[in-house]
Amino acid sequence: MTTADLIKNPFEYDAAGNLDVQDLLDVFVEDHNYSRFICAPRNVFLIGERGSGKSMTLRFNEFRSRNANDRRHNQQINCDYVGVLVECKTPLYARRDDSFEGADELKSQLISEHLLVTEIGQALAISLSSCQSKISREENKNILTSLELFFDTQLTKQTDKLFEAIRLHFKKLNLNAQRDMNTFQWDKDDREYVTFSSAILPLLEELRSVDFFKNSHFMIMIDDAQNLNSYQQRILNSWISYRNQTVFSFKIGCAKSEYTDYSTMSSAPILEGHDYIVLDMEQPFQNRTSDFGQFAREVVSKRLAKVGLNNENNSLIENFFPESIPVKSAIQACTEKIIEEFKTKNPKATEKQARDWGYKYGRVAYFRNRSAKAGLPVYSGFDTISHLSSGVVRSLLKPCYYMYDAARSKNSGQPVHSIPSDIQSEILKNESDKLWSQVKDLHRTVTDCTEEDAAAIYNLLDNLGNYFSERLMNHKSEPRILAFVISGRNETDMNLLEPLIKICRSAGLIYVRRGVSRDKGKREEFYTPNRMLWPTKGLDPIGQHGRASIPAKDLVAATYGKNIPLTIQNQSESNQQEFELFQTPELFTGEET
Amino acid sequence: MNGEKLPRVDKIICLAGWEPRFLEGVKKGLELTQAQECIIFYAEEFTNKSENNINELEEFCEKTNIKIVKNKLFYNSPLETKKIILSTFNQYKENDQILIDITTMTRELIWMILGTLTAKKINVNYIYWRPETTAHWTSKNSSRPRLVMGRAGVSEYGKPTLVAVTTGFDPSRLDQMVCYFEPEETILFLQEGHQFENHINNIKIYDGYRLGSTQAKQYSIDSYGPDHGLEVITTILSPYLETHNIVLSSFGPKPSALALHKFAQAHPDVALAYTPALEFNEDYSRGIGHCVWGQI
Repeated sequence: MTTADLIKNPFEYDAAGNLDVQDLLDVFVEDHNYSRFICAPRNVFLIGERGSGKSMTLRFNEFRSRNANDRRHNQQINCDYVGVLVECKTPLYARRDDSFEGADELKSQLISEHLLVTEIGQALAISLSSCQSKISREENKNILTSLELFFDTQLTKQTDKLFEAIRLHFKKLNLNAQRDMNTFQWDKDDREYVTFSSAILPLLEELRSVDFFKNSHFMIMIDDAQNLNSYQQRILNSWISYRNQTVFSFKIGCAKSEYTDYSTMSSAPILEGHDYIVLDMEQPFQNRTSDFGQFAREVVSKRLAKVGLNNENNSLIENFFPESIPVKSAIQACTEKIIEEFKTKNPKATEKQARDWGYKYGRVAYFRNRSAKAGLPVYSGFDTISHLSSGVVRSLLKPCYYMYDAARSKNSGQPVHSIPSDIQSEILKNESDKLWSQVKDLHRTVTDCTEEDAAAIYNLLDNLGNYFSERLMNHKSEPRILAFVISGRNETDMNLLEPLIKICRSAGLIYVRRGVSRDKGKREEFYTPNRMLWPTKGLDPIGQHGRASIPAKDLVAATYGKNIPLTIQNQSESNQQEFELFQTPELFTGEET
Repeated sequence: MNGEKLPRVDKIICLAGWEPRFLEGVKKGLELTQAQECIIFYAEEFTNKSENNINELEEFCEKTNIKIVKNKLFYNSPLETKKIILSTFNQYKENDQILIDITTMTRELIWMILGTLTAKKINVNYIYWRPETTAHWTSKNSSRPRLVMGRAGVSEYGKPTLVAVTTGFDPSRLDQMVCYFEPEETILFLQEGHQFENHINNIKIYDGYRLGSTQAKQYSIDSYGPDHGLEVITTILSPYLETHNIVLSSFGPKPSALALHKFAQAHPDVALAYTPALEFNEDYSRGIGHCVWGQI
């Protein structure tokens, strides 16, 4: 390891597309719960907003990355699942539906499919280009001959290498179609357009005639699918509905709030569970077998290994991000006191019940007992950082990046082995302040968000923060809740709230998840504001399981600057809840899942 | 310069605006060029704001025996606008002499019209009337950027995106461009000088501009110069033509849109984009100053 490696900040949080393959392999932590769904002959939607890890996951599963990973681990190249990554992020995807509006519907569909298919064709050639040497000359020649017949064109004008010939062929088709559109005469042309059936299916079949790919299943991985126009989304859904997944399947990465049409070209719906499964990249908290806290540790450990810090005695993370000792001691003292009080009031309680009570209320006691003059709390320790990330990997790495930089500056540029708790706290508060500034300027960065919307969202989040704060200080049974459900929904209020929530979702300010409600076990949507908002408000980012029920009318009023009223429970209600709580221990996890 | 040496033309084309310089500018243009026909485009969405100016211009043309052609466009429907432009200019011929008054035209319309007319090899003269004074804000609440119909360029799969803009007083439009296109590179061309407090309202606000992980590169241009910044733009952007998909936009002084038009005309794979605003400052400009004019 060179000195340069040691000094480089290991917490770079660049977008996946900006990493080369080796860097990607250095930092990516494979979540095997996702891999077993992705490397399988089934259609998968990976949904989540920016920074949730969709693109990284797809890039890791691309054939070139998997190959490089196999070589790293001295394994033979595995061709069982061949990932082809299609990135929908060139300016071509800014040609939205109005490029076709008023034109012949059929031609609009044909051109849309043609453009998408020719991008898939190019992506396939690029993803597999490193395998050119694995194909014999005879196989190369045979496939090219077959494809020339299928495509009715000469492929070998510029090259006789299979994948380069394929790439150039689809590139030419794609560019010609774009030029046709620019002349505004495209809807009068008789030019032939390719479809998935006419171009990609024969190509995949031909590839499977090659010894190297004879047992391969091709995963066509389309990233940023929300950028597809409405024709392309429906066309893609139609492909998904084929459900003949012997040779290929689709893995589609998209922003949750923007890919909303799940119907085919014939307007039939594609069905979750039947035609595809969903991996919600924002829900790691929810899944106990994919614990984000553990995952976050793996991500950070791998990053630290890049600078020569190894987790030899499993205490690397704690040593690198130490919690403030005074805070830790104070919370410990409050917890012990709470436990003593509980035992006094409940002499028949078990030790576990007493510990659980302490776990639940110890931190509350600490926050409640802080002096009003003490200022904002100190935020430190990896658990705090992990919770503040709200389950989004980029939001985990970003503050770590700035912490590392700050610590290195203080260390006169020398390698960092630990980040003092005061630096951690300062950076986390700065990040929180920056997030609030971004809220104020949302109209500058989020499409179709006006200044008025930004102001309403600021008010909403501000009042939610005040509500959670009041809850922390006064609520008897669930003081550390940081999520809510909307009760008393009505059309008028929801028409006001939903567009604002949509903006918040796309800006990563509110995460919308589904969970089991207390109302006869029904599923309900619940909303978790980005926890990085809360250090500015002095809240405890390590929330608890549970959701507050806030009436829609109160949320609407909050957008106008009104406080959200908190119902303070009376003591008997609180006692009853506590009793129920400890009769049904599975409802209590001690922290939000 | 006040256009005294403007050539004679057959027709003047303009987009109706609510600003005083629209009315005065077009009248002056008609007088100086002795045009016999005035094509007034007007946006349906802003009819009520520009109605008075349109009526006055119609009266003026009637009194001076100038033929008026009024065509409605749609700010929110670029496809319909494009169709109207094509049908308006359908019969125009190579030797037609045209003056396009870009003073109150949107950049999108400028590019659509120039794209259509230059494809017909028509000699296009242009004129732009500067305001006497300006307010500190022009527009706000930007919407999703869109590629200009017929000027959308050609994007090559696998190439990163470069966004290059001439900056203006409304940074939110640049922010929307960067957030939407997620460029690998961002290049800003900043108007030089202190006119209209440019150094405060423009240069200063983009100092050190970055959004996300991209730091923008910055260069100075003079949109009011003879080439409106074309030489600088060409020098800076040419090295990127083979390596990037380039998207251009103009948020700065209106004549910079002409330089971008010429660059995109010379390099048809380059895209021109427009970021609509939901709100315009009706009191942005006051009075009428000097003009810049030339030939495309």
